[in-house]
Amino acid sequence: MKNKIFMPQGVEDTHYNQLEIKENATASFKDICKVHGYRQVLTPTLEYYDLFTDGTIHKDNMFKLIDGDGKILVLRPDVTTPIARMVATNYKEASGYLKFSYVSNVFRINDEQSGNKREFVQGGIENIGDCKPDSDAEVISLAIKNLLNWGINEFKIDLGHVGFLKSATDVKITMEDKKHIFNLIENKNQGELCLLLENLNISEDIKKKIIQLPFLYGRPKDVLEKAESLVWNDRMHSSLQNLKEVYSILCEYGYEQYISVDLGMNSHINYYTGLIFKGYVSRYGKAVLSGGRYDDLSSHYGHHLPATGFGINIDELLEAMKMFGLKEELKCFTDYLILYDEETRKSGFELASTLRSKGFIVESDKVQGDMKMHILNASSRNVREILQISEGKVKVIDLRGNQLYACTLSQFVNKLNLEDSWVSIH
Amino acid sequence: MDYINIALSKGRLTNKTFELLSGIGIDFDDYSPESRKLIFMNKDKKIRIVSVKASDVPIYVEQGAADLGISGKDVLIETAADVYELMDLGFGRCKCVVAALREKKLEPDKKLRVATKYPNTAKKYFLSKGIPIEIIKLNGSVELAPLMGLSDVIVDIVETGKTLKENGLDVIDEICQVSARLIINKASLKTKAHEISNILRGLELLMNKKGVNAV
Repeated sequence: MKNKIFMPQGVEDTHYNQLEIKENATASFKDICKVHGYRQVLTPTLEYYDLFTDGTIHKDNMFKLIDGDGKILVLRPDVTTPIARMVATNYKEASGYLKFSYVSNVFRINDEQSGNKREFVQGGIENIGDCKPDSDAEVISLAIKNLLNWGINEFKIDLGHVGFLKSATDVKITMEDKKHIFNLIENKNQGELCLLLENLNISEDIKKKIIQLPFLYGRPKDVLEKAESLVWNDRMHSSLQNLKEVYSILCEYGYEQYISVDLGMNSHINYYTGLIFKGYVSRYGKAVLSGGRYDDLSSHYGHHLPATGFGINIDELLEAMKMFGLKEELKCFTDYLILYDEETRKSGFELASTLRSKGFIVESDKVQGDMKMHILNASSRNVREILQISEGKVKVIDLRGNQLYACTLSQFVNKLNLEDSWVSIH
Repeated sequence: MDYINIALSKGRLTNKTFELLSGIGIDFDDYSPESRKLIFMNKDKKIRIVSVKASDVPIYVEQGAADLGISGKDVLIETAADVYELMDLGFGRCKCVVAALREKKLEPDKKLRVATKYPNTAKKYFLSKGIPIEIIKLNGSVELAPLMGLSDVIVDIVETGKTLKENGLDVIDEICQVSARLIINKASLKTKAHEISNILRGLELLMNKKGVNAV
């Protein structure tokens, strides 16, 4: 009986104050996307398992269900892949670009007991059909605009490039060794990288250069300069040029101060093909957003379109905002609680309607027993004023100002009409 | 300015770590080897040390509760934490091995039972060898397991091999070399770049000096 009240790992109830904050953050995200021409779409919660099996999300990390016909379904583990599928099937005729935004629940089986959520809200945008560095920069600029709009101003958007790292290991070694090298570079594990390279058939000159890759991170100007002197093939060079261009466009947006570069960055989502990035908020230990260019994903579904986008974990963002003490003022409240008795029920309802039409939040209740109980309940519900109605009179109990006064019903309404500026801001 | 939090493991690596930090001019007056305190502060340099169980260090760092951590490679492999592993600090050296009773013949027609404190490491190792196994997770005195018939082999770390020998066990294979590593939270390296790179530079100089001395 007892375990009926418990919940599975990694999921939780969202209570009203928290939900108010979350909805607010989500709404402002949607607004910003909308005014930049990103149109909102929604993909289904259920998808075929097969959609994700080419390595987008590790198969152990998906929630699986069996369909009536025996096919395996999964709960949406990622939004970019379904959007790419949608574009490849429904927008074949489209010329030019498509801009989409979404806010969806995403489900992933994370390691038990890691504290990570298994259901979270992800907001994101996809800019499809445009391969210019301007579209990469636009996507990143939207990520920055959103963070700033949420009141976060200590953060870094860290830029990397999949092409740079891939072409750096463009030598004849096994896939497994390559993966190993990527991991060691990403985790800046120079010691083990040296040991691994020792036994590989790569020229000494290139080994020396690969060993330096883990430390190509930090201030964009320094890193790009250092990288420039290090590149040893054309593809590395063009990846670096691409990153430079995106960076300089971001500078034109005026976002120079928020950018850092890490050329050792690697992504575990393997559809990325070009510039990738992650967003880190000060004092918050995890990346809250990530994104990048994925030019080949839609061709898996039969229609090639270059694309770039990002996703932000809104649940983690809210935790980061809490660390900054932001948005605490968004607490649920009620402007008026109207207490009526049997005789004044009708006029109570009328007053409630009048107040609601003026934009106030109003609840009503029949008076019963001790007033003290009503007052206690009202203050725990964050009610601002109690209006107790009896025979054409209103007793006003102002819970915030700790005041009490009485007037006639018509006086009360007249006063409201005079003070239009009072209107609640719910 | 925010504090830099360093997680370090209680036990094997503790004293060495304080020595190391002292070597780069970060001292903790309130530390002594007998101390039972879990938090130590250096207010001038804004550095705070939290002393946690060895196997928890990577989790503290991965989740950002600590910016830096000093952890054995054995624990890092076991937790597979998503952190930067920036430096091999060179102390706390040992090996992670597979060991079995001397003269014990492994029966090929039976699933191998492996007792260990490191279930993930053991699984990964035997998977790479193509050997199916059954894990028996223990929390200490793993050497006992084969003796008491609880398992066929063990996976554990050994420093000198003395404990193994005294319990009649032989090393069958070496899984990896272990030493203390400096790990860093991925976000911290980006958002506290300046403060952290100061510590890194200090440690690097110190390690190089030690390297020279050793030669």
